[in-house]
Parts: sequence; structure tokens; C-alpha cells
Amino acid sequence: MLIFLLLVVFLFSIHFLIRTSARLDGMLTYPLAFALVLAMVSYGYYLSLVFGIGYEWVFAGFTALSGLLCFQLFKAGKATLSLKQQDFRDILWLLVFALTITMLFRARIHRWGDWDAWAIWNLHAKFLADADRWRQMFTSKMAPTHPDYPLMLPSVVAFFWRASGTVSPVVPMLVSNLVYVAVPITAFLALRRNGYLLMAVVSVAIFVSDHKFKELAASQYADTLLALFILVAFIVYSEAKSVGRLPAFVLLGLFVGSSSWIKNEGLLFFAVFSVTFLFFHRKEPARIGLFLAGAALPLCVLLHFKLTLAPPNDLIHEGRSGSMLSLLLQPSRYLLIAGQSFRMLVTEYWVLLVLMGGLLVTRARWTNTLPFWVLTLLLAGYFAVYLTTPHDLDWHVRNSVDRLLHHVYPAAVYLLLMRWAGPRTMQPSLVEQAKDDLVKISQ
Amino acid sequence: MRIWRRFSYIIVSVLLVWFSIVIVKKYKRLSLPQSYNEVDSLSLMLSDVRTAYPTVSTISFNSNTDTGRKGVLYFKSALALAPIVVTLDESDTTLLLNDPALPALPREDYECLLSGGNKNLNYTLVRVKR
Repeated sequence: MLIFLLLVVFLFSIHFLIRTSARLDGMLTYPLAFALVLAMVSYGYYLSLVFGIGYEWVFAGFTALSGLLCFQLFKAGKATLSLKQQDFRDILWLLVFALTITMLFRARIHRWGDWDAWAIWNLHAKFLADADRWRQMFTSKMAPTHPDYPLMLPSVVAFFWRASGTVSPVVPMLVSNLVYVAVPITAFLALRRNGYLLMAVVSVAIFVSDHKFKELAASQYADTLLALFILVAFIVYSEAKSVGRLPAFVLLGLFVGSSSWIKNEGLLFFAVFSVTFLFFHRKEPARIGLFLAGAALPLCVLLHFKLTLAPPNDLIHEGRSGSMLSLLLQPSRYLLIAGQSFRMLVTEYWVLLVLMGGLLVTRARWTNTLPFWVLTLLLAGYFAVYLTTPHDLDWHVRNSVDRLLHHVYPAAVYLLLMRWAGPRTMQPSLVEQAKDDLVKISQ
Repeated sequence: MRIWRRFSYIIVSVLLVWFSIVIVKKYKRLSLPQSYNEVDSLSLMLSDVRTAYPTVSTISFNSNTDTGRKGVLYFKSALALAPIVVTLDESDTTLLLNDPALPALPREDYECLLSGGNKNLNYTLVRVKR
């Protein structure tokens, strides 16, 4: 109970911090703060295991950090304990919104999740919950359970298992529930913030009624968490670029970098996003510097994990550079991947096809934007991984293509609805403020 | 207007409480034994292994079931016994999970350390005879 209260305080302090430093005002800061709290809990817990710091010290660290943030914000007059009527009403609606979505989701929640949840994610969490023997997981003897997978979800679950003092299946169920709820709320608030109320409602209707989306969210896999971080990355990018202050780019770097700590596919997303970001902002070193500064912590943690603990990945380290070329030269493999992916799009993700068709009809331009190139390159990367997979291709594609599309689904729905709604109207005062920041940093 | 606003607050608060109760009840039901699945039953069955041999770091796994079912049981046993490493490779100590309806695995070369079971499966923890 104490840890829950502490995390609520931590969430509010992060919310105020985002609001004041990155100038991302409004309700959107709540889901952003939620994602950031998950990431911070994960990094904090993982580092405590690496450095052999006791759990009580992790707890004390979060208390101190929350206290320090609150103190600074209250001192600067940027946070207050008295809620305005508007804030109170917003929080009340947010709660009702979250609970309504949970009501529609609750029938799908089940103990220990689906195959990968008990074979990989919850298993890793159980190792991480044992501070003395957690390193035993990183052995080739456990190769079928993929000990090379990044640890954000397992470390969050392990953190709460340690807090509750028991390995209860309720924890991963609750985490998956919260992550699922965060997706429609984030998309709704981001679209509403731009004045697109109808599109915001449409986005919620899509996520709440989509049985495939709910099925994967309830599976307790890390895919929905990655989908949330990809969605958040595009939202923060949009805000940072148009109305936010420069610190919003630090936040962007943190979110994009953190996606690499969720799944190996997130690492590909980070690489693709970073390269595209560098290209699109090549004449803005301040933005690039701040983005890289934000990505530094997640990257350091990931590098430590990959270089010192994780065994080689089965898709990359198979020592088969010679056979790679022959795989690439088989047209049947291209056809199989394209066919399976298209079939999955038509049967389960047809909403994306409808929205893309709408863009063609309305002739809205999208191809010259960063999100378009990031998503295109990411899907191309997934395609390349399939082409060179050492596993049976048909089995591999059939068992994973739905989850790969799930990663980009919320972000694609959000971006397409934004495009449908038309060009964004910028607030002149905030644009001026952003320009001032840019000048100050350059000087 | 003010009356309507108050009325809407009351409705929203009632909804909040009602939804919270329904969701808490759902989670409570999920934590009861009637919601247990195979992971839980394996975890209960293998609890003796966890308590009797907590210092054993690696246990190899075998089962008399078909390959697909063996895979399922392997991963579920690995979760039930973690942080003990359960491996499909050879090891000094082995966990044999047997479906009583199928022929049992031969174990002449092994000495039995522990055994038990439930209505669907039984287990034997064995070690190579020295």
C-alpha cells in the first residue's frame, strides 16, 4: 500500500515536471507521466540488482526523488496541493474513462497470461525478483526462454512482487490492464489536445472495440507496452516540434530510448527513429543534442545488459553469413512474408487499411514527414529480419506478424487520424517561445 | 444549471464506485483457487522441490508426453521453479514429469530424491546413481 501511495506521488511529481519543463500542459501529461514512471521504476530496480543495492534503498531512493521533485516544484510555485475545480473535474473524468475501458477489458484478463507471458516475461520477472540468484537466468541453458530479451516489463513486475512480498499473478495482470488502458487514453488526449474531438472519440472506439488489440493486451506480453511507448514517442515528437519547449526533446529521447529496453524490436525502433530524426533535424544541433541526452540513460542501461549479461540473440548470432545471401535470393520468401502480412492486415488490422484509403481519397500529404519514414523503415526492418530468419519462415511469420503490427497499430491510428483531421494549428505564442529557446541554446 | 452540474457529479461518483467494486471483485475472483490454471497447479505440486532443494542451481527436465506438450510443461515448470534453472540440457539432477496415462520414463540409472503428484501429473526428482 505504501509503495502504491509513493508511486502516485511520484507520478504526480513527474506530471508536474513534464508540465513545467517541457511545457506539455493539459491532461496528456498524466499518461506520459505513467509511461515515464514505469520506465524509471524499471531502470531503478535493474540498477539496484546490478549494484547489489537492497530493495529498501530503492524504495528510499524513489521516496527521496519524489520528495525532491515536489519540494523544487512547490518552491518554484509550479505545483500546488489545492486542486482547481477544472483539475478536479479532469481527474474525475480520467478515472471514469479508465475504469470504463477496464470494464470492457476485464473479461479477457487471466492468470499468468498466454504462452510467451509464462514462458518468457513472467519467468524473467520471477528471476529478477530474487536479488541473490537473478543472474542465473542469463545462461545458455535457459536459451529457449530468450534471456537476451530486454527487461522493462519483467523488472516492473519484479519490483511490485518484491513490494507485495509474494509472487502473485495479480501483478502482471494489473500491469497489462494499466498499459492497455493507457493506450486509448493517450491517443484520445493527444487528439483532443489538438482540437480533434471527433477523431479522439473514433480512436477510443477503435481500441476499445478491437478484439485482436484486447487479446494481445491481455496476453501479458511486452508488445502492448512497446506499442504504448511508440505511440507516446510520436505524440511527444509532434508536441516538441510544434508547440513544446526544447526540454521536450529530452523527453522524446527518453521515450524513444526506453522502447529499446522493452523488446528487441524496440531497439530497431530506436535505431530507425534516431537516424530519421538526425536526418530531419540535421540543421538543428540543439534538438539533436537534447534528444541524444534523453536517450543516454536508456541506452547505457541497455548496453550494460546486452554487453555483460544477455546471451547472443538467436536471430542474429547464428554464424550463418554464408547462407544469408541464399535466403535473400529466394523470391518465394518475399511472397510468403508479403502474403501473410497482407492477410493479417486485412483480417485483423483492416482499420489501418480503411484509414490509409481515406488519406488517398482526401489526398492528405504524409510521405514527407518523420513519422511516415520511421514507420516505413521499421516495417522494412521487420521484413528484413523475416527474410534472414534461421527458423522455419512460415512458422515464424505466422506466430509473430500480428504482434509486429500490434507495435505500430496505436501510433499508426493516431497519426492517420491526425492526418485525416487536417493540418495542425499552432499557437503563435508557444512557437515564439520555442524559437527563443532555440536561440538561447545555440548561444 | 448548478443543480444539473451537481447531479452529474453524483452520477459520475456513483459510476466510479460501482466500476471500482466490479473491477476489484474481478481481481479478487482471479486470485482465488477456483481461477487456478496449470501454472498454479504445477507450482503447488513442485513446491516441495523448491523448499527441499533451494540450493540446487540447475535441474534438467524430461517428460513422457509428446513433444508439444513437453514444451508446455517445460516452460511452466521453469516458471514454477524459478530462480532454479530448469534446462532441456543434461544435468546431474533431473525433474521427470509423467502423465500417468502414458508409459513412464525409464529411471534405472537414477536414484529418487523426491516424488509427488496431482490428479493429472506426477513428478519425480532424480539424480544419477553414483
